[in-house]
Amino acid sequence: MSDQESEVLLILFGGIFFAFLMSVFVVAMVVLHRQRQIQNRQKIDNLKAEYERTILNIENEIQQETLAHVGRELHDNIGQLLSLAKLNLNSAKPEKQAEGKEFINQIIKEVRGLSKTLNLDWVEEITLDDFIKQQLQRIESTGYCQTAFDSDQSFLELPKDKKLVLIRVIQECLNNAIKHASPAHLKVHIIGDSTLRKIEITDDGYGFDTTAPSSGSGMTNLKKRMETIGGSFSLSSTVGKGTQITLNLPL
Amino acid sequence: MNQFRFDLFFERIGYYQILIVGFAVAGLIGYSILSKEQKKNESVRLSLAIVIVVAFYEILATVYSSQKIVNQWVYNLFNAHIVAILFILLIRSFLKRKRDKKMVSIMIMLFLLISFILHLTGITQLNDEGEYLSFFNSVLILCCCGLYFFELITLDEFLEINPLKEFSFWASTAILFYFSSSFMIYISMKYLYTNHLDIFFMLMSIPIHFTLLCNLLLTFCIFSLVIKNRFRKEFLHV
Repeated sequence: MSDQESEVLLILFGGIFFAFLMSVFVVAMVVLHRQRQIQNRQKIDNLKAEYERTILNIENEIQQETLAHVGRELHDNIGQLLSLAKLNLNSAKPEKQAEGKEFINQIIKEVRGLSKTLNLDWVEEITLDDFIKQQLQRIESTGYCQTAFDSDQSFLELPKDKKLVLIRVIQECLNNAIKHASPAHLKVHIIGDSTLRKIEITDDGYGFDTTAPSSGSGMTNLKKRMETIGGSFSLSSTVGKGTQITLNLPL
Repeated sequence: MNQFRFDLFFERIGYYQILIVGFAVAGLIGYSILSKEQKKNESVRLSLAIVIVVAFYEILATVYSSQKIVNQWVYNLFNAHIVAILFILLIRSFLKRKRDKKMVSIMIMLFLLISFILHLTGITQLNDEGEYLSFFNSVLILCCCGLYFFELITLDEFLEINPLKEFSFWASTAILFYFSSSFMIYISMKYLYTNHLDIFFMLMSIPIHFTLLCNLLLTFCIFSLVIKNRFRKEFLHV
């Protein structure tokens, strides 16, 4: 084989090897990209599943609470009204009978009101502002503490799922404040701009050391729930000065 | 001054020149029938610019060589500078990260500065083989291709795309093959031309065919948009 022929062969084989290496590089890039796509799809599926699980859990919790509330109402309110109606209707006096009929009308109203709470349609009908107002009124009527509510109505338009999660998180935050902080004042403030909406829940109760390890999983759950709807949960507290919880939800 | 010899010029015209001019004409026709919005697409504009400039300098180089005039400066100016920068800008248009785009812009500046210094100091002449500049611009283009592939496998913006249907992927692959295969030929051009003329002509067919392949792909990029408009079919996403 002449020198020139061997040089040609060397260049040829070198070229083929080089082209092969380049091809392997490009194919490797495509394979890596595909793998990333698969991993990303799995991640999205997991997030979706977690989101659905959270919504289901929240619906269950709300239904459980509603059933407990209905039970209490049947026993304490409607039961009492029915007994009064029975007593009055058994009386021969026409004015007592009229009073009994009044009680029956009141019972009908109460039962209608209760039946509405049995399904979750009320979540769609109620605005977040109205729900917070109701909760704060309930707290104030029981005499636990004084409440204040201030809103720029940033949360008026909200999908049902997000509203459901926020309702549950707010309910949990308010319950925690009453249960553990014994505040004199409880304030809920809603503000928003073009990119972010915020709900601030502030109490002037005992407060706590946020650096101390916690045995419960309440805060972690609240954080996770906010994350499932694309929001975030932050808390700041000082012993003796109260606690402030901020729920952020991007637009 | 010698008279221009058309017969010598037409003798030099082969399938390469015809195809290169054909791609440029087809690219121009395709571009003219695109919508206003599509005409604004940076990748389409750069693809058209590349096929036109390549056709222009190849015909100019053929004119010079047919009249026995040194044409090396045509390749040094157009191929090693203008087309190389257009290819770098094309890859830059595929990048998503601002930092990477900035890096590519700095590379272009650096390349122009080094070229200017090399010419000013006389290390490189406009009429020499241009091996230093070919080496330097090929390295820069390979770095840009590397940046694109790195973004492809790391950035979330690329997650939704199918690379095999993406113009940016095929263009980067073609540019990568073209410049990585031809830069070794360009830098050994002087040696091969003086010592092994047969091997020189054999190897020169590699960049020639890669240029054809690249220009075909760039013209197809423009026509894929025409096909998309007319037949509602997307062969290549631009």
